[in-house]
Amino acid sequence: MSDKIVIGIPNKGRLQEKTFDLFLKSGLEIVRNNGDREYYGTIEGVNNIEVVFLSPREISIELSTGTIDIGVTGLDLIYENIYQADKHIKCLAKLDYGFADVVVAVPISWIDVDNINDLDDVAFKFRLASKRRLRIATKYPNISREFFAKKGFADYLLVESLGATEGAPAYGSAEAIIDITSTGSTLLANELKILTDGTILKSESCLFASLNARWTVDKKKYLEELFDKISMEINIDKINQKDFLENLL
Amino acid sequence: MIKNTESLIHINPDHITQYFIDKGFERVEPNMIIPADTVVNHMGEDIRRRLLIAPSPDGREHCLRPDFTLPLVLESIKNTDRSPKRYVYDGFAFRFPTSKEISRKSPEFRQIGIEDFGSRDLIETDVSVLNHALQVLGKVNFSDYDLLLGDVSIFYSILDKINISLSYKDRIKRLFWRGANDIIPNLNIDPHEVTSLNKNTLDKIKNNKNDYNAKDLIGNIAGFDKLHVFGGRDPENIINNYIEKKEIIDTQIIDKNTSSMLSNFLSINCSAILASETLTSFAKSYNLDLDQEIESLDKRFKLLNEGKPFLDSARFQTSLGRRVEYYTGLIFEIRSNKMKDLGPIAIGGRYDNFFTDLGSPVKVPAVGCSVYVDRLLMAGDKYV
Repeated sequence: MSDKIVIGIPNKGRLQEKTFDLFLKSGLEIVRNNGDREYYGTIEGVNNIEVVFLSPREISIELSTGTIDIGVTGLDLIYENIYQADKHIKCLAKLDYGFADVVVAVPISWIDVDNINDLDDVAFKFRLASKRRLRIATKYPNISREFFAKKGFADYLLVESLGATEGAPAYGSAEAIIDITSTGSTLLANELKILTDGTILKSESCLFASLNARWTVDKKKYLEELFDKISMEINIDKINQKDFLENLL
Repeated sequence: MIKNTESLIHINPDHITQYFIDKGFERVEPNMIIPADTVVNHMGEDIRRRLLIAPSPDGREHCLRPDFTLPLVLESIKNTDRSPKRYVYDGFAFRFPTSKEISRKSPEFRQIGIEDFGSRDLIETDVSVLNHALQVLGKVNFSDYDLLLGDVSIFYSILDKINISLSYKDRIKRLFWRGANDIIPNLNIDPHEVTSLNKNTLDKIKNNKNDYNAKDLIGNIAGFDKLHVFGGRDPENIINNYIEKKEIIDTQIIDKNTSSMLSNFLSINCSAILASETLTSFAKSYNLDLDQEIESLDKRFKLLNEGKPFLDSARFQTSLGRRVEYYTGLIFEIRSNKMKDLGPIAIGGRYDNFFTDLGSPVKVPAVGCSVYVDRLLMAGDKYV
C-alpha cells in the first residue's frame, strides 16, 4: 500500500492554471508527466505526494469516499455532491480564486417578483391556475432543495439541467433557474435577475481534506510538511490546521 | 421449556386486513411503480429525495409508490365505473425515512388502509371510516393511543367569510399548509423588503395600462427596450399581480381583529366533547356565523359516540391537517400515548379535491385511512 498523500487537482481550464500558479509560488511545481491527457502527476522534488488530475466534480466525490486525501475544488460542488459534507470533508484553506455565487434568478420581466416571498406568491398562483408546479432548472438540485426547504418555499419542481441553465426560461424548459454566476453578465444576457435574498452560496476554490481517507502517521507528517511549504501563500489558519491534524484518525 | 406468553400481546397486522375484507372492502393491489413527476407534482419537490427513483430508457423517471392513495386514485380516474367503491390495501410503500423516524431505517414500510371513493353521504362516510380505524385497533388489542380530531373545512369557511382580498386568502392558506408556527406575523408583506414596488411605478402602470401593450410596459418599467423572456407567464398577469400587490401593501389588509381571530382559531385545542361548545363561543366572540360548520361537526361526533364513547379521551385541534394540503374536511390521527416522538400510527380524513387535482373530469368525494404497521408494532411492543 502506498503511503503517499494523494492530491486531486483540476484537470483543465482556469482552475487548473490558478492551482498550478499557487503551488509554483510556494516553490512547488506540479508536473503532468506525459502531457495533457495524463491523469497522474507529481510535484517536482516532493516524493511523498501523488497528484491525480480530475474534474472538480470528481474531486468532490473522491474526497467524500476518501479515494484521494486532499484536493482543490469549489465549495459549491462539495455541498452539492456530498450529503452532510461537514461530516466527511474539512476545508483547510480558501484559495482566493474561483469566486462564484449560486443564485436563484427569474426573468427580468417579472417586475412583481423581487424576493423568495414574491416567488412563492407567483408559484402558488401558477400551480392553482395550471395544476402544475413552477419549474426551476438547475445543476444544483441538492443545494436548491435544502435552500428552499429552509425558506419554506415548496411550490416548485426542479428540472435537472445539464447544459446552459441560463437559457431555460428563454426556450421554455423552465420558468426560473438556480445557477452559478460570477459577474452576472450571462444572467443579464438571458434577461434574468437575481432575487434580493436569492444568493444561496458564496463559493470559491478551496483546499479540502477528506475525513474518510486513511490518515497514517506518515501521511499526517507529509501533510504538515506541505502546509509549511504553502502556508505563506494560502494563509492556512494555523489553529485550524493543528486541530485538524490532531483530530485525524 | 415453558414460556409465559400470557402477558405478551402479539399484534398480527394480517388481522387488520382481514377485518376490512370482512367488512366488505374490496382488496386491491395498486401499481407498485408510478411516474415520478406525477408524484413530485402532487406532493412537492421535498418528497423527491425520499423517493426510490429509477430512470426508464425513454428518459422518464419512475418511482416505487410512496403511498397507496396516489396510485389508487390514478387508477380510479381511468375507471369508467363511477359507482361508489370501498377498497382495502395491504403492502409495502417506499420512502426513505426522515431523521425523525424512529420505527424504521429501511425505505420500505408496510401500510394497511382503506379508501372510500364516491359515497355521497359525507357525514356517514366520515364517521364510518374513523369508526373502522378505531375498531380495527381494538381487533388487534391495541388501545394505548390518543385520538386527535380536526376539520380543515372550518378554517376554509372562515377564510371565505372574512373580508380580505383573494390573494391574501391564498397567502394565508399557503402558510396554513406549510405549518408555519405562527402564520399571522408572516402575513403582512414588509414594504422594506420590497425594492421595486413603489408608488411611481404603480402610477406609471395605471396611467399607461390602456395605451401600451403589457410587454412594452413591463420592458419600460424594467428599463429595457424590449424583453423577450417571460418565463411562461402572461405579461398582463404580471402587471395585474404588481398592481394587486402594491395595493395589498398600501392597505395593510389584515386588521388586528382579523389577525387575532385567526390565531385564536388555530390555537383551539380542547377535548372533543367540548369542540362544538368551544367553536360556538369562538364564533360568537368574533361575530362569525359558523352554525352550519359546527352543526355538521356535531352530527359526526354524535354518530361517532353512538358506538362507544371515543370522544371522552379524544382531542379536537384546529391545527390538525396542516402540511397536508389535500385534506378538505374531517381529519384524524391516532398516536401512541406513551411514545410521543413516534409518528402517527394511523392517519385519515376526507380529501374531496384529490381526484380533480390529478385530472379527473368529475369530482369524487373521498375518505381514507392508513395504518403505519411498523409504528403500530413498535407502540404495541412498548404497550406490553
